[in-house]
Amino acid sequence: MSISTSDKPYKERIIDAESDKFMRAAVAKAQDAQFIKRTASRRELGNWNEWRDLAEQIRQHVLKYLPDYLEEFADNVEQQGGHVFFAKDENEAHNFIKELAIAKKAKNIVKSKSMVTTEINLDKTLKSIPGVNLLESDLAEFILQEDNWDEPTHIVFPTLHKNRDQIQEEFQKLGYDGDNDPQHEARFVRGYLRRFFMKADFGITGCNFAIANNGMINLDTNEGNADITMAIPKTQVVVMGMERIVPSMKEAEVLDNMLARSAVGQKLTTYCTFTGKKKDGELDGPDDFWVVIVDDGRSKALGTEFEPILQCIRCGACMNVCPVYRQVGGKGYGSIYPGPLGEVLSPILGGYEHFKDLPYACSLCAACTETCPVKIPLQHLIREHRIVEMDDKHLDHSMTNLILKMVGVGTDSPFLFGSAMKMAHPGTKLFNEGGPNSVEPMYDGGKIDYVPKAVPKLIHGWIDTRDVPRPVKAKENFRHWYKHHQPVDAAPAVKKEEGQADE
Amino acid sequence: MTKGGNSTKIFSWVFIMKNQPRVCIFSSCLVDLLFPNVGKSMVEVLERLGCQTFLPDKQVCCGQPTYNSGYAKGSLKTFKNEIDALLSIDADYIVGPTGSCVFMIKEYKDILKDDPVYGPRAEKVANKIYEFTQFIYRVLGIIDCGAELDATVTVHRSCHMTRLLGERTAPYVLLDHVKDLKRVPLHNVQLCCGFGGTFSAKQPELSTAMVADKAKNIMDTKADILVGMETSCLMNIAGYMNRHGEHIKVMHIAEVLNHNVDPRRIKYIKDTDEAVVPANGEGVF
Amino acid sequence: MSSLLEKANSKENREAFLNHLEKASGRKRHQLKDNPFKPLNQLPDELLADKDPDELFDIAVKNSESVNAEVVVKKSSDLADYLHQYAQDKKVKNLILPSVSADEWSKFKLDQWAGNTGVENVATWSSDYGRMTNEKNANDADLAVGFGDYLVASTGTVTVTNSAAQGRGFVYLPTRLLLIVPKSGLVRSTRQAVEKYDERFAGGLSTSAINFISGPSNSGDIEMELVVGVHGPVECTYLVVEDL
Repeated sequence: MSISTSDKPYKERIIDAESDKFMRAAVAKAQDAQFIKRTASRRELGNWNEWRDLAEQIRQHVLKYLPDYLEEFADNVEQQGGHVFFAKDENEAHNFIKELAIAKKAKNIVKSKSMVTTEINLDKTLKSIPGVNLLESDLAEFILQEDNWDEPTHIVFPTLHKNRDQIQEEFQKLGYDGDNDPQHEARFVRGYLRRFFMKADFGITGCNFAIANNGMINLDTNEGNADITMAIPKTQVVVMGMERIVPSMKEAEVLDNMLARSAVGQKLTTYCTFTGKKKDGELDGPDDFWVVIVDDGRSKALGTEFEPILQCIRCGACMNVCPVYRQVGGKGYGSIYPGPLGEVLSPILGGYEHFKDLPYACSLCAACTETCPVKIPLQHLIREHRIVEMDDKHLDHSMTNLILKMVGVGTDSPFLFGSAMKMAHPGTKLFNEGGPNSVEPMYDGGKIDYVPKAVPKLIHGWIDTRDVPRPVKAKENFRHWYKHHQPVDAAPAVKKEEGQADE
Repeated sequence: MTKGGNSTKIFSWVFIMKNQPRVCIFSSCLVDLLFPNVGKSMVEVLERLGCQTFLPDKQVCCGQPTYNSGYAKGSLKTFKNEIDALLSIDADYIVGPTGSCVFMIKEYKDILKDDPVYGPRAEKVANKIYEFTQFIYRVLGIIDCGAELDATVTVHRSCHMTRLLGERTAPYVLLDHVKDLKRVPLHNVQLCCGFGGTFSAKQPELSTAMVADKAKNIMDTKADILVGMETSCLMNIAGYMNRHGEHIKVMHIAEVLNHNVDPRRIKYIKDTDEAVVPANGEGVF
Repeated sequence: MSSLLEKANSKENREAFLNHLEKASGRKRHQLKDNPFKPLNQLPDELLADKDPDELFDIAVKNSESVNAEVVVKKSSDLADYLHQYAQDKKVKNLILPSVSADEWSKFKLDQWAGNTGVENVATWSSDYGRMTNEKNANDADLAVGFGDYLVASTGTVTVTNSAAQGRGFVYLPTRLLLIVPKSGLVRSTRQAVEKYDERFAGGLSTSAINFISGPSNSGDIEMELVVGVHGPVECTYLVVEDL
């Protein structure tokens, strides 16, 4: 399946990612920079939470009446002479586009950035057609392509894991002789790609929002590559996830504003375009206009507790605030959809077996939920995945599973917990190497800083890097103190207040 | 701080104490096992502020360790035991020293909504449970607990308390009224410390990297004391710092608000010229 | 193997897909007519609604400059002089103009200028040429002077309607883009602009593209450092006509 970006086991990916110091520094810097820009642009708009309410309402409404809106949209595209194909999975989607490219005798295919085309493995399929040249025109996607089709690590900034020197080196192979200044590197790509654009005969774009009531496609970009992709080639294919639809340009406009502020801290992306098939008299744009509407597993979320993930407008804010993404970047997740969005979406699209670890790569801190412009309860859905995995699918057969089940039994019994409060202190006597303490006063009553090798992995997970205060003696614990304490006298102001109220 | 414009809808802070409020203490398992002084401090502060306290014996744990790990079915008995324990006392309020566990308990009503017996009981618990600082500031209407602490502190903001419970300002207001206390900002305060319940033990690579960053940011503040609202986060951060020989003092906010108290300093918000700060602060993140 | 292409626009293809969604969601199709979208608040309509026209224009200028667009305000009688000077300053060698009517040019008092721009090579985006000649002319141009519809205050945007006179390539391929926009085209927000286009569509407007353009093209793809000028124009000027 094409949302997967790695065959390595989860733990190995995490350790690989953590050892990549450059990548981690780059992600941290990017997160910090985006924090400032994003927050400033949202404050500038004002009433941010009410805007979120509206955006959420738009997305939920559309999902509720999804088939009706798709029908209206398809009718409008067809009426204007366009073509609509509904693809149930990635194979149907990429095979359809491949057939179309062959039928149109495409030679030079140009693409603008689109996550859904990555999801349906479109690049690989198109490259398999003999005699076809394929070029990703988004600056970041182009950089990935030139690095032997490296995988994206962020849905908005796909090359977050690469630095300017690596990019300089890559471009030198294409004839670039400039320095490592991003401005110069970008200008080189402008010239290099423009030559290709001018002979492109087949254009492929994604879709930010499809407009149901007029059959137009709404695209948000900063570079202008999508618009050139829609200008020069005679044939244009729009690939859209089936949920990317809105009733009219009015709702698209709301989401465009929310998207730009959330994704890059701009008021609007530089180019926000509503577009469709070339009209009579116009001199460029697609003579031939095709829309491929992709399900590819999305319908598995419909009607379930996971439906809200389809509200997503792909702004990437959730990964820009995620403390786990900060540590492992996109590669650690092993999915083209990383971060909190990916933790929810990947198991739905790619299955629990393959992505069962992702919902656990999360501390449930809810920063994602807080920042989401369309109010997807991300951390809640991540936890829902865990419940499906443990309670319904029983995917964990390790010692950890056993221990947590025992914790479940222990915490529902006052008697067992009472015994634990008595036994915890004497029971932990041996687990101390007796080193000095630097933090006051947490370890004044002793600490646990060591456990024998044979102790389960779960315990090592903590103790190998962190101390724990030793549990207190039964006679010194809170409950014992409470039973014997004399209530503290109420303060004068409080007495006065209560007295007044009593009168 | 601006005057007027109190837009908080969640809590009505104007509370007329017709009687002494009866407060059921939700202690939390970490306080019971590891942090007795946090529980003591909380009780003493609440009593000083005029509350009559009760500690139900049969309470154990909110059930987060198992529920958040995916064992929903296996957590139901834990939830029900906690509901029974907390309702065993006819109290006006339930108050706990941890926003995370308090929110879990508030969630029972959603999880048990189809249970004819425990659904309504969970609702009852949810309606009267508060985190400690939230209760003092928004229910009791107290702005100064009368404490004194001559030190520079930095505050670790807890994720669940700020984002799920929605209380991100009460602890700061209360700390800022502690005599002689100087509060310095913590860089990237919004980032999780890496605790995350069983996450910390199941994902040690991620969790340790996160707490290492947090520890560095804390040390960079050069504060004397790290203050937190959550024993679990403090246990995580302190556990890492102690292992790495970082010198700092760690206090739960209940311990700060119970430090060197002069009861004559205790003040209601309404007796000052300060307006109530909304729980959600500026609300833009 | 039957061709997938034949399935496009077919009832079977569409119905199978949509019926699957109906089944998966457990919600009946064709309920939308009775439940149209009703927004829960009016924020998009209220945006900047409290500003008077002067304040609104100041906001538009500030927001335009923040996206690296150059804003120039002139009377229509001064447009020709300005454009002469601009082309000279920028050392423009290849200019491309839209094939708007003489009336349109004269509305902006630019009929004479359009015939005598002082630039060495002047091309026109025009149906006199084929598709690729127009694209090539636009690609060669170091300046396009075209017309915008609305200046959007909330975002610092000028909107452009695609037409036979100025196509997509005209807007996106030249090195510099200068858009002439009447000050009467000032609107508060993208919402207001979209509503105006909806009205014009209802009145028969035929266009395949509406472009909301906010400054020159740019990218933050390399280390998230903003660079100006990637695929689209590297400079962008809004020439606002005060008296129109």
